[in-house]
Amino acid sequence: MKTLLEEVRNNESIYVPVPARIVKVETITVLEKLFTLALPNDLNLSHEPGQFVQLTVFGVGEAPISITSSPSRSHDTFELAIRKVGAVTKVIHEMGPGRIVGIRGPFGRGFPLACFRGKDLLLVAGGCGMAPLRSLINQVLDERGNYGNVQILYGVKSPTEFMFKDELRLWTQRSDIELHLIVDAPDLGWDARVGYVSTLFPEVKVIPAIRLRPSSAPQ
Amino acid sequence: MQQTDRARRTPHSTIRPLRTAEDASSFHVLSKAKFGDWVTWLTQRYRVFGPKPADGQYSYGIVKTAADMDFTRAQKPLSPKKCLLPSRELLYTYETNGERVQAVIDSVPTVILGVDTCDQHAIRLFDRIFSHGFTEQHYQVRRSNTLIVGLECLRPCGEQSFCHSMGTSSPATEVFDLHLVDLGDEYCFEIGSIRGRQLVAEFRGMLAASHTDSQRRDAVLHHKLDSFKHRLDCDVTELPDLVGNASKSSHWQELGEICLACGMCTQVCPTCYCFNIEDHVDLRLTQGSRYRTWDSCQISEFATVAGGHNFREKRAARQRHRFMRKAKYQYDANGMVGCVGCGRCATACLAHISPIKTFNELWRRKKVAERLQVGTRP
Repeated sequence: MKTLLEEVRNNESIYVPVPARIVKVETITVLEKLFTLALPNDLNLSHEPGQFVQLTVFGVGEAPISITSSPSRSHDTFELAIRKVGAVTKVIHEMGPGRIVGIRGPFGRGFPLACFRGKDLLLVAGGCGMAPLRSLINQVLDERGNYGNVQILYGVKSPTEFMFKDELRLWTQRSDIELHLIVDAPDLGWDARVGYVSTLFPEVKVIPAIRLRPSSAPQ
Repeated sequence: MQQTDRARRTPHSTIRPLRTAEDASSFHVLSKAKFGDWVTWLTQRYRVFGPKPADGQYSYGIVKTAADMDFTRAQKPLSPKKCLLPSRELLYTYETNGERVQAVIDSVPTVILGVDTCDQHAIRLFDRIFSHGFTEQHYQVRRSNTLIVGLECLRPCGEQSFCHSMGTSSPATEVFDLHLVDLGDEYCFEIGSIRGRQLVAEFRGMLAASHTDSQRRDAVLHHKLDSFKHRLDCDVTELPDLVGNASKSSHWQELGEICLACGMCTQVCPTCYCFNIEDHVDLRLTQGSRYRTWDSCQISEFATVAGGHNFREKRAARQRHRFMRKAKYQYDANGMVGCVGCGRCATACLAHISPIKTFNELWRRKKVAERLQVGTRP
């Protein structure tokens, strides 16, 4: 098995992507869809939480997209949560299983997981910033014993914009993590906290010496 | 006194005299009468670019004979940047179903003739930029198949040039394969690489430089310095800190108010390389091509991201970014100031924004601020 990055670096040009097949598409919010992609059989993604790939829609263009699946859950396939905002993302939102896209990467620096070991974690996400953070959260949950307390703060504009609702439900049910959700434009059904995600900061109990705080935010 | 001090601190500003036996073997002379034969000999073996007259100006283009070229020292509005990083370059072709993805790499053996000293330093910076991190084959393959034949500038090429202040009025030894000095009726060839030596050794008619030739060359280079003036009020080594500490200067607002955001400064700059990626498909939507095209940080859309937010919406912010890139960021990342003092941007700017005026204005304000600070001390 070769890694995707080795394949990309060995290509005649660094700009040439590797073909990947869309195997599943799920609508996760009004804005985002979750795409499950498969690389050619002899390649694995081999990424770190927080890294991104360059996604090519052939005939349209290329865009950087965060990898939202954790390394612990990206064996035969990996996931990209994509908000429909530009030329490339508009077209991929129309694509279904079986279609071929181009992938290069993974690029960027991942979260320094090794430094997190044995420490308490405060993980903060706003809006579609949850896409890269979910990769880290699921990695942490899959090797939960390696870390101390885990607190997650997640804020969005309106309740309809929460991504990965099924997983959020699972996270709330777990006793070994704390999840705090907040919205700044609540609808009638919302009976929890209102405000920006930073509203929660004064209420979070941290012991500064042992906590690390990776955070991600859109843009 | 101050001038001497600056010259000492400015890299590449001294003449390298031709003294030792090893040096002597590095120098050859060719009469101008035979120079055309050498160019023809080159064109039979290489794709040759050279400065050609075009619309009353000069531009690097494909040369078939020496008569196509003009080696007079008028400034060329565009540097030979486009020979190494074309303004529009095909990166790869594909079928829109994702099959038959085929890289397009240009590996044609190439010679660029008549590269000015400032542009040699710009290529020196490009070589550093494009060798960082991931291998960028499109530049590297083209560059490794390209020989640089420099030409010594014997007088300043334009009103706006300030190469001597930037330490780029002498050739970049890591860059040129051959470097020519005009001795009147002959060119003196300095060999800078093994490949350059082959261009001299394999052509009949080159003569090893004699002691007299070396004296003539030294004299020409010595007199050259009389016409090159220092125009920067500070030393080039002060620029990274000067501009880096001026991020809150009101001068950027002043430049933003007159800037037309046309992007011409970045197009003509020999060290600007920012690019955009464009896809083109055929009418049946089955065949596609991906191109790299020159972009410009001065265009309002440059820093606009998906969702519509623009990180540098104001022209002032874009001008500041441009000068930060030149004076500070390139120095931090690559150990070289990103401006080589060619002055092309100042010549091209319809609003008369010039790097030398900008650097000197920031220096003046810094000095004024320092004097005020001294004055307020108890």
